[in-house]
Amino acid sequence: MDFRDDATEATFRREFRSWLATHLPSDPAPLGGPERARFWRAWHRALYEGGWMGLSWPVEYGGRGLSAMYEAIFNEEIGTAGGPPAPHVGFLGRALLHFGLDDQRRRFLPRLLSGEEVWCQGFSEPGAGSDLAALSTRASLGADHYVVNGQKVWTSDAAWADWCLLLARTDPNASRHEGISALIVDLHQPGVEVRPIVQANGDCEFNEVFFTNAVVPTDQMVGAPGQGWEIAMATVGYERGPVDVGFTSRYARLVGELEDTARAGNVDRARQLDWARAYVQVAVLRAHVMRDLSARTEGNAPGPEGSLTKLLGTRTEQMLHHVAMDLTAPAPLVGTQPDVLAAYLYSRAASIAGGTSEVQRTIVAEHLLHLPRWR
Amino acid sequence: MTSVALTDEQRMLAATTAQMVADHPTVTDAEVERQRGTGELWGAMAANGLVALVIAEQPDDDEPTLNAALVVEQLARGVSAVPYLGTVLSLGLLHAAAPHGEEITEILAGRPGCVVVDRTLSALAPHGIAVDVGPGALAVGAEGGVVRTATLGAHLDGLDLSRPLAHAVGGGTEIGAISSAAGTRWQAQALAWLCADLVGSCTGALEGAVAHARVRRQFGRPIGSFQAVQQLCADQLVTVESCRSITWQAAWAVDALNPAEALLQAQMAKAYCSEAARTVCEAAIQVWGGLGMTWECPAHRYLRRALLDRQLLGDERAQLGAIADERLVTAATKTRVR
Repeated sequence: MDFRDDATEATFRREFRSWLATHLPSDPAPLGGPERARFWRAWHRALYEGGWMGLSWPVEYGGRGLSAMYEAIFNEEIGTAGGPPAPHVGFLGRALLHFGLDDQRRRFLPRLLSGEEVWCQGFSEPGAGSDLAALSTRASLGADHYVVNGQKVWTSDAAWADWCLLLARTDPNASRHEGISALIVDLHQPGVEVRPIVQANGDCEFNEVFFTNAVVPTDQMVGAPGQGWEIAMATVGYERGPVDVGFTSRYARLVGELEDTARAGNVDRARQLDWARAYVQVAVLRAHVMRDLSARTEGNAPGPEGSLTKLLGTRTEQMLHHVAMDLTAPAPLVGTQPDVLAAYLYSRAASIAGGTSEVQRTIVAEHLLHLPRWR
Repeated sequence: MTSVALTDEQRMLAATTAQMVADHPTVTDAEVERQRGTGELWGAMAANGLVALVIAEQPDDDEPTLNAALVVEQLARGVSAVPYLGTVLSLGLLHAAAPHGEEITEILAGRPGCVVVDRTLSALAPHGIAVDVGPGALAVGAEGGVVRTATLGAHLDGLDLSRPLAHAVGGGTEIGAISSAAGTRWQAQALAWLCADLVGSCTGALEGAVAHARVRRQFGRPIGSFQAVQQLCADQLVTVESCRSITWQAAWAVDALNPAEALLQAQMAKAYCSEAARTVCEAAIQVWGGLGMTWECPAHRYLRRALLDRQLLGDERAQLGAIADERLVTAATKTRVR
């Protein structure tokens, strides 16, 4: 067992740290609109040109073929430097890596990594949230293309995305799970309309996406017809990993910022202990994620253990933002630290997005504790 | 490469210990009584070198603290009434003070050891309360950097049914002085092993409760199929597995990092596991329902053991205070190092 970097990892960390020192954006991310899209594209582009994207991806698709541990180091260093979170290309890319045709991988993966093309994930629908298999967006097969009709919701980044990994029902006569397929949809076409959703914190990350006779060439199906559910489950498996979505970088950054706040002279003892508890929680998450990643580098894709890690990550995020609100009070309440308030409100999404905590606990109960199924 | 996984040998060590515990159960009063009389489990452990491993300086074993932590965890998982924790803790003190003392020979020959703490159970002391007192145990305490033995008095009516407590009075002999670094290392090691005991206690309690939930039927179906029960159990598993991760890190750190760094890791682990273990053991009682309130059900034995571990050498409040002092108060005068 070794929680420390080996010589190669240490060199990598040092190099990335010194790169960050000269390449961090000077301003915080704008809350919405085209400025927000420009900001993220620029940050993504800078990381890519520095050679820091796709560390654990195969070399042939533009990655560096390193172990997942390097993604953890990458996240940690961004967090320690106080940078914007890492772009979350990991989980969508994994779907194409595992299930895509070679042509699809060559066409799409390098530009996903480079940030030239932005992707979104078209899974949830107004009638299909936790019960994702209830989705009703239809893709009907024509001569050499599918015609898509339906609506997606909570689609992060769709307002500036170029492509959507879409789950749609291709066989209405098959069973709920078996009638679903995964399609790569070009969002720049007349049959697609994106409407941003203003979130509780004023941000506009989520969107509604409407498909009206949108066209998808048949060679843009990922996997086989009816394989969509399997692909979706593999994708969300990666989406649940705090490293894969770049969240560990946010936590490391926040607990460091709060350390400075907690050290100020006017902070009472109870608040200092709250900070210490958050500091411990982040250390626990880090140790657990490293254990998780070690199991994965031994050749395992994320399984139900990913749900356990997501629950731990959610606890960590929500606890951190409670401490942030309390330590900085009353500033976020009187308008002087709106970023702290916005981040706190956003933390409530942690137990909803990517599968609610209730869904994760059901997975843990059935697949790790082997309790009987409830339905 | 960074790797947080047990070696095959470590998995084997845990499995061997688990098998010994299964062969010599000490869950019921009768089993505890019998084991104290025969000493079979203790004998099996000594014969397998499980005590000696904490001070063995084998070139192929650079993780003695982690290895002993795996043994401690499996013992706690079976609420084993065998004085392993007290023995390895006292052995560590003796070894730091006088590596060739005759007391070490006695302990390696099978005599149990126990440690002496003050009346709040939160710090080593020359006299006060001896913890995990096995038959004929040698009591070891310390004061001002000097390790001493103590004389054992009457047993206390302690809450933990698997590890007896006794009064420890002065009048022992001086073993020798330990350096500040060795003292810090011992503290880190002790906290890491207490965490391993907490992890084992939680694991045993949760496994028992989940096994019950699989078979206990109400409303015509197993209670473990109800979402309310599933959600409660799943949350406990998140807690237990994260306790295990931070405990491994703390145990690893004792042998890999300098004592001050290892102590911070151990304090973090003890803060987390102390708070978590009570929650998990109480949830286990809830899942067991009415049975969980009975003497017969092992749930209370796990809870009792966890409550003692939680208090020993400082509960979560004490550890968080130490971390806050180290990071916020002491460090305030230094430059920020992260």
